[in-house]
Amino acid sequence: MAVNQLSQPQTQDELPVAESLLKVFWRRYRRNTMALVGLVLVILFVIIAIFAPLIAPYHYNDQNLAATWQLPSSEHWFGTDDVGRDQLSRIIYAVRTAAIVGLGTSILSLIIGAAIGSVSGMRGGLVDTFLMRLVEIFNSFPSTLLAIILATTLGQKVTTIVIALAITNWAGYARLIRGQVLSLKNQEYVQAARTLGASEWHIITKYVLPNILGPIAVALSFGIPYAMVAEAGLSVIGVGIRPPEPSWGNLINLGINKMRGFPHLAVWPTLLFSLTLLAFTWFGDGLQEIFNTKGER
Amino acid sequence: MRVNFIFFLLKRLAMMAVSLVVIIAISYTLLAKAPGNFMDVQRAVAAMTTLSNSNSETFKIQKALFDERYGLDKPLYMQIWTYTKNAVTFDFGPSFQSPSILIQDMVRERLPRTLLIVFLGIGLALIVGIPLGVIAGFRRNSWVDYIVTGFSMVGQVVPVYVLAIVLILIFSGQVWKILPNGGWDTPFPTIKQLILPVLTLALGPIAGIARFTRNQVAETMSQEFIRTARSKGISERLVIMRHALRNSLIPVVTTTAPQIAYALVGSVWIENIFRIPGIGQLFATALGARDYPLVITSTVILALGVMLANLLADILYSILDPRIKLEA
Repeated sequence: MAVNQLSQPQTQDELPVAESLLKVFWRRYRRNTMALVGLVLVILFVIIAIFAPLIAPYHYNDQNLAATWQLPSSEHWFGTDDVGRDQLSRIIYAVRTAAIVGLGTSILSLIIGAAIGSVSGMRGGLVDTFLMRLVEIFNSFPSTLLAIILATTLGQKVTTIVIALAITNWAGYARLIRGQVLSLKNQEYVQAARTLGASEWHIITKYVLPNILGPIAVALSFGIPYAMVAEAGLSVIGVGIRPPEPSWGNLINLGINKMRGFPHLAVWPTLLFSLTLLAFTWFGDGLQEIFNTKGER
Repeated sequence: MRVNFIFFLLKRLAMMAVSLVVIIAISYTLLAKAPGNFMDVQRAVAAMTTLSNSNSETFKIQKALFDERYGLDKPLYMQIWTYTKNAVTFDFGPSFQSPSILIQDMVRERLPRTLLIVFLGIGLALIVGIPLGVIAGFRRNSWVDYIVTGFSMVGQVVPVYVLAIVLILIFSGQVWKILPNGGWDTPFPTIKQLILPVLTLALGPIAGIARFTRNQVAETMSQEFIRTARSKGISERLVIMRHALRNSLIPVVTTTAPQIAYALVGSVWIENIFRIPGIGQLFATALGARDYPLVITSTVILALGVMLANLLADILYSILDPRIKLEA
């Protein structure tokens, strides 16, 4: 009860501040041209992913055996592939798959990392030592190779690929969250809450998490392109999402195989894929700048 | 100091050993649980060539004999233990696909090719990346800086298989047809065959090293000892050569290790796209054939390479910069 009465006026006072903080963030973000370009492209990417069935002129798996290997034309803007599927439609649906893989992987690995990192940081002692050794082991060898093996075992569907990538990629998030928790743990307001008898769960969700949202947003925005690169990489060596499901990896893989005769099948997916990756990186750089600038607002 | 160093080395080597055992155990378990095994793949191949081989009784006997020969009938932990024990003496046994050839002999034949492209790539990256970064760092916010930072961003973000496609389209077909796009049939490649794979592998590290060097130089130039050096009245050339460069280039050693890791892992894609018979290609083809001893061995070799690169970078850094203490 006493805790509630104390915290009530505090949150009300914070409200207008939080609003103006958003404005401050936006003012800072606006200054970086590339970050703005990135933001526009990321929004475009999200819109394409959500409305893929409405935007795509054909279904991704509509075959037209009378019109295979076509060069770009007014009917098929990016041409057609080996079984006459519209390349543009496949790219639009690939954006949707990439959005699921990118977001799914980074959120799932964030959840694993946050659980391990916050326990490690809050508890300290032997638990911390053990978990951090685990993180070190995971960081010491190429996680991509493990992801490839894991994807082979789990199967080649979108969900299993997301799980495989998340399981091999949580270590960075765990380290980030642990560091943040350690620096916040000894802040006065956290100690005050603890003195008042708040539970560890309450402290983590109410005081620690809101304060580390910035670094988490940055980590997520870099985690998304990482997941997309990994997903496509799996396809290129033959253990990615199984065709005919459209994904960047499957499109690029077809492009590599048919590069000699039909370069347009390789050009568009690689160009647009690279642009997507760059957009997320510019966006992430912009976010990082907002949260890292010290003092000056 | 000596004792300290030996202690550090022992601790790091112990950590490496633990990591390798964990990798072996994890990948062994995962692959044992993977859908489809080597014999299934073989049966599918056989069924496609001759229908007579689809007799299931014969297949069962064949599979039992196969399992016995490779110890696959033993419990999983025994298999892992046997593999790890033998791996210590660099004995990986025969692969599923070619029972008469030992895996260590395959590694001995293929590893030099992978190391060749990795080290040429990293060498190229250092030769090109460091000067680019230094120039950009000294002329911050000039057009040179913008070009270098822009290029670094693209090089770091775009994955190696996309770079390979772009370079092949430009130099080996659509624009100019001047370089072969791979296919090494002789034990060692010609220089022309090397150019595209090495260049593809180098672009990412060039970008990474250039960006890192640029930031180091820029940071060093704003340090107080640079101001002191300038106010002593020594020439700008001396300020750069003696004070700025020395202090900003030493940390570049630390960024080379992750670049070597990038190149080693990237070799999986590079060797597949350019058809280079190295360790990376071995990994991918073995995975496709469900040839597990081969998959695990190539994983272990690549992981060992990454760990050794990290260890060497740490040691080299502490030698170059005595202020850095080695801590495991």
